[in-house]
Amino acid sequence: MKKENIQSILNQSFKKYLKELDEIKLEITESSVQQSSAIKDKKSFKNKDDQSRKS
Amino acid sequence: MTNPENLNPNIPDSGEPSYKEKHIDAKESNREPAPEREVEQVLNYIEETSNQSVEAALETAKMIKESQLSSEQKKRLTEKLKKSLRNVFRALTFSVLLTVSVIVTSPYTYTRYSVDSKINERGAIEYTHQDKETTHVINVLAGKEKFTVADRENIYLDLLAAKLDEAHSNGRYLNIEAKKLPDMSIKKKMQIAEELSSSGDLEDRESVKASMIDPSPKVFDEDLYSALWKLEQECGNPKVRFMFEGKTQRYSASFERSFYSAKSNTIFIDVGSNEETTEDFIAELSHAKQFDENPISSLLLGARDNLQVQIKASSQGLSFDEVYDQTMYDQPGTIEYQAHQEIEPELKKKFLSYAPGTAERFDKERDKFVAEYNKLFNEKITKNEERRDYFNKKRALVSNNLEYEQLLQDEDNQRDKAQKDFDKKVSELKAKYGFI
Repeated sequence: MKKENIQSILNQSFKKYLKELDEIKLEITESSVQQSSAIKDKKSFKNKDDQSRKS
Repeated sequence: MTNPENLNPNIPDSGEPSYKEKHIDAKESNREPAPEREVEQVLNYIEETSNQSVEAALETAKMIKESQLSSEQKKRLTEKLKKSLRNVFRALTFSVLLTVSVIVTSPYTYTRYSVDSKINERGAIEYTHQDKETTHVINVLAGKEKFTVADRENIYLDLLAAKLDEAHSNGRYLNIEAKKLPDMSIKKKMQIAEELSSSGDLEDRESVKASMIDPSPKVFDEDLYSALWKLEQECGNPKVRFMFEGKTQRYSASFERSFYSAKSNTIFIDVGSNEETTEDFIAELSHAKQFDENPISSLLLGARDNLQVQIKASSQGLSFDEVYDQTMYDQPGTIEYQAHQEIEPELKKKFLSYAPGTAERFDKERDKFVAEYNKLFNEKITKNEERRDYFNKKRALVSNNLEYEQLLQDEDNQRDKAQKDFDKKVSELKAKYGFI
């Protein structure tokens, strides 16, 4: 077993690991974006509702 | 293994060549060093990857914690993170294990030797091992070369080293180091031998045995020569060394019989008759074949077996060797079982096909021994008896220890007889006078 072989095995696992962490981060970001846009939508709906009441 | 380069005997030399000078092994001195630097680089790489993995995991965990996600979502992502971290740590552990295997097996992988063959002027094949002492040892076993004065000196040194070890364990001769013996002058060695003889540490019979023993056949056995070299090559060309009474001053560990050292890929064979020594050589070749074919798994298997024996020995208050001998050779799956019950019979079959005449000669020698043994000790052993017991008994037969035990037994018998005679006389007197 050569140095390069051990490093290559470890490298592959580490890359896969970083990819999985990126997927988690992406999921957090996407959920946050969805949540913030949902809040935004809710707010704008509320604003519209207020305006219509005023009118 | 003792490294002769580190020895500094500090003993005045008479100018005669030392054993080391006479037997300097060119290959040993030119051998490439173990790849410590490569191993160090891999370990650094593993450590770096490990640190990065932990940092990345902490960062992600922080992101999960600080996010606006629901507790359900956070829990699911944390589980996902844990699973990924576990996987990468598995890979890290695997890499560390592989690196450790490289560290441990590197001396073995760096002691792989070659054997050359050529046709000589008589049209016969002549073999040469890369290590010249191995060529000599195998040639001596076949009777192609003589068991020289230097060989005898070497086994005598083994005997001295063993006796020094025993004396050291009793706190005597601590100023003489056994590992320095090979580098001492002949004069100095003789002084030590005389001292050990006068103190009774070295018995005359042992010195006589060392000076009489010869592992060569009476005449050059061409079939044996060819068979031994074929088997040597089929088992990965290990180095071979003679030793005496299970001891060797050139190896730090001491065993009671022939053994194979995976670290240096060397077979140490106990010198006896041609038949005994050849039998031992073939038996230990099975370990060489084992490590040649599967060095890492054999190493791990050996480590596991040693651990098991150690645990059992500690828990039962027995010695390591005792438990090892009782359990390892007959238990399927152990390194000894694999070597001596699975590989060795195959090698013996090959030996029989390569040198049928020699095998027949050995068989007759065993028959002679068995007949002699059974007659002397009134037992019924067979020549197929387990090898270790067979040779242990055979050694015991020629040693004074058993003869001494026999004398003690005779003495006991005489004492018993005297007691019986005395009791008989007492009974007679009682019968005659009614009282004593």
